[in-house]
Amino acid sequence: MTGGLLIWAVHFVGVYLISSVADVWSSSEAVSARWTGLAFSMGCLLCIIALAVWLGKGWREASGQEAWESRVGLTGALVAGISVLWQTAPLAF
Amino acid sequence: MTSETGFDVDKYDRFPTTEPRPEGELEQLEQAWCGPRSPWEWITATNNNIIGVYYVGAAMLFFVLAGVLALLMRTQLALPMTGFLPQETYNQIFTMHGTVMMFLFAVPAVEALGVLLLPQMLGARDLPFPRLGAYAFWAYLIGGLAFFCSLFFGLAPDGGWFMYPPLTSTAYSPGINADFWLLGIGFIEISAIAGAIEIIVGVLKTRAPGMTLDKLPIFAWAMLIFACMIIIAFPSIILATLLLELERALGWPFFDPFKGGDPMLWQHLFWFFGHPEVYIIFLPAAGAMSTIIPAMARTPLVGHPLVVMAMLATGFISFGVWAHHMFTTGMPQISINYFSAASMAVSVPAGVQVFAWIATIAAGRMRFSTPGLFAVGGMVIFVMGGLTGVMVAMVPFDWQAHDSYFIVAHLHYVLIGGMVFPLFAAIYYWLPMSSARPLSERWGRWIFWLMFAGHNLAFMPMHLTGLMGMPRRVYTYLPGRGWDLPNLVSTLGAFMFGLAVLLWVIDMARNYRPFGPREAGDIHGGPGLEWLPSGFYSVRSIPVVKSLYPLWEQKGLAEEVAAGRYFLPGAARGERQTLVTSPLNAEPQYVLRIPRPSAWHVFGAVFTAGFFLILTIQAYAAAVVSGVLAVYCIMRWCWFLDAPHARKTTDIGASIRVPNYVSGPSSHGWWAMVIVLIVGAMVCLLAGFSYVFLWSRRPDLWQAPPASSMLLAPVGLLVVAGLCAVAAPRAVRTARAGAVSAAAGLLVLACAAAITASILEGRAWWATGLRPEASSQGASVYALLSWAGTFAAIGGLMGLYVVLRRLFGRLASERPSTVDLISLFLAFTAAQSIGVILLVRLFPGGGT
Repeated sequence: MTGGLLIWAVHFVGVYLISSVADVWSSSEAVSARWTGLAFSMGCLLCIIALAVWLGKGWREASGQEAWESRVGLTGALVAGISVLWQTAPLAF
Repeated sequence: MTSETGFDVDKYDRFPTTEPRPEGELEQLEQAWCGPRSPWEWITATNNNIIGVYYVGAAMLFFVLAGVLALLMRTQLALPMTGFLPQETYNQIFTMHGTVMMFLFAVPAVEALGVLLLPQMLGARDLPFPRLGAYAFWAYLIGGLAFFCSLFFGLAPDGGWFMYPPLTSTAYSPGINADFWLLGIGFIEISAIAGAIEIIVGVLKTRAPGMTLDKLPIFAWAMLIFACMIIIAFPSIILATLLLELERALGWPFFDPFKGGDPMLWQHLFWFFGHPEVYIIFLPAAGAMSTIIPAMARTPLVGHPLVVMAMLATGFISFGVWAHHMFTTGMPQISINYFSAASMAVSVPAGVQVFAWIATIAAGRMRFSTPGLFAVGGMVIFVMGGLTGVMVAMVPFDWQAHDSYFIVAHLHYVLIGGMVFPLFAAIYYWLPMSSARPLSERWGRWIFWLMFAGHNLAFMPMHLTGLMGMPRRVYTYLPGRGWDLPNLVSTLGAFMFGLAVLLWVIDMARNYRPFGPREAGDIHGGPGLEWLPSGFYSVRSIPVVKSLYPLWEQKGLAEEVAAGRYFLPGAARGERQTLVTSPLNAEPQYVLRIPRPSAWHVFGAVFTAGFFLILTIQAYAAAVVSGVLAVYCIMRWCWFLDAPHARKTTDIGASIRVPNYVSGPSSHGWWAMVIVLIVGAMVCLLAGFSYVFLWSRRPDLWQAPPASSMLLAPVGLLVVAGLCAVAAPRAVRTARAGAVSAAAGLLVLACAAAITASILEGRAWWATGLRPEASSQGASVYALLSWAGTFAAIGGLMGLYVVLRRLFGRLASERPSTVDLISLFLAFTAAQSIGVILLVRLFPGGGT
């Protein structure tokens, strides 16, 4: 149910760590740091998509409480996807 | 639906039962749950119906007190160059206003609402740890009043409610004013964590059978997320206050740049707590709104799963926005961008909730009586605050508005719209549940409109004064800057708001009649279980829940529950009992015997508060005595737990029998211990972050760790401690003679190994010449080791407790909970200590 949001949390901590480590070693604006951050973000987005597909399947097959949980998880994954995408945008500019 | 515990859910069809109830059953239930009969029993009471009312009352007292401080400030600022308050007093008053509102009103008020409402809402007799809830309340009340009284002696903190160093270091705040804040707030947060543990375990483990997650009331969802957020966020402020107090009292330089410290560390730690705090306050209020609006509109909440998702998402994303308070501190640009993006993203779930409320109002027939007015008024104000929140999430705008009155306006719109108005809606909506008379509807409308108009009159002009350049926290200003009129209007608005609160206090005095034989009841037609007929025992029988809105959709439920046709209709053997259910599907698991009132938790709270308060005035010997007495009282309180049961099972109705005792992950105590350990782990994790952060500031000051050969002994001892802790629960469960002694012996061995490892590691660092007051490395290494050592010392106390229980015959193979929980604590202690030692030894390596 909270899978998408957990991936968002991992993404947030990840990109923050990558930029902080880059800031200590050279610069948070370094090209290598940006590409690392972008690659990490893409990985997180793929995980969210995979989770959403799996939850979507579960939603169709389940009923009652299980369908409800899948629905909450699916919409949570959607919000997490938007947030990850939005937080990746600074790396692209 | 697959069963979670193996319980056959078809057994729910046996309810409501039809056979006549035994004679005298209700009288026995009433006798078991009887209210206090003497003044002393009103103090030692633990029932949520009593403690909840005390708790809400105390929170509202602090709201009024902090409101009076606000009026004093507004009087001072009404006109330019006024001398109503001296500058020093003004500094104390604005610090106390913010601190009391945030720490003594907002969080406790919503926690109090949870303590009062949740058992009835969930169909439980009480929360699972009523004495812990009462302890949290008394600790909060005593600590809060003592903290507030510092104002009358000129000892109140004066560094702003976020207490930034270096302003709050001994160089710029040499008195004990800042210490009052640091020790007082740190202590009050511990009380908040105790309440959160109670709420999490209560929501997950004491729901009525059938109340699966999709049927869990939205307010309970909100309280669950709120309590989880407290568990993650509050350790940060506990650590921050601990570090600053260590710097002030012992000179450990965490925030002193001359010795490698960095004041930015405080800002990171404070805001990692401080921003989620806003959502911690908002979520329960939003849960109340999502309950009240459907009830007042007489229709189900539109988009219920989306609202649950939105609350979960808010809980997560709010932890990614802390640095938006630090945009002007010179953080790396890319990091600022991440926080800016998260700050905007968090408005998505907030928007989902607001649209769900609007859609619910549109779909139903909204009644604009007082709770409806407060709910809609709060929504309007909150949306306005949310919009300025998106503005300040944008970095260039924030640079202009930072530390100006625009921010004061924004935060008051968010907090008053997002918490105060919903709280008043909740008070008007739920008060008939615990009072013989509801509050006056006529007065309520007056109070709402005065408050709504007063709020907008007070805070709307602050947007303008802020944009015109008026900074926060100034005690006066020069005339002729265009600030005069908006400030005068703000003051008038503040007094209008104050008048509304005064009228509410008078109306409460006129009409609020709690603890009587009957209540005004469900005058708003609410659909939740909290509106079932109830007494101190909560519900007569615990119903099977088949709907999200049981009173609307399960016809005849109230009468059947009152007739004892569901679970636990009586009080077997005169005990106070409630039903413990599984966390996902709410399937019956066992009957929990709820302890009766005693004085030990009250004494424990008094001496714990005494310890922290006496520490503030640096009377260390007296503080130690108070601390020892607190530990003694808490051990006495625990002494009577895990006691034998007369029978192994209880018939909970319709010939369904469940055990009276379980241990391990099914038990409520195990859950509480795991949550306590998460708190400990969060403090340790954040201390680890502080260690790495301080290294990154001044790596040149860091020296090499002790020789690697000295690593083996402490780590080896900790591995032994961990293995003993893991082996003890297995040992106690063996049927052999001496199993209990073997388990106790293993636990004592684990304690001894953990304490010895702590001492060895401390000595190894001491031998390198590193001192805690010399550099940020010394301070952070010894802070981490002290944290791990404190756990080892508490483990030692637990070892002593186990030995005493063994000697007095209070340990038994068939009741392994005591051994289980202490083992869990010691295993965690060993793992945490190993993590700490490896971090300080291996990072950053051999020094630079």
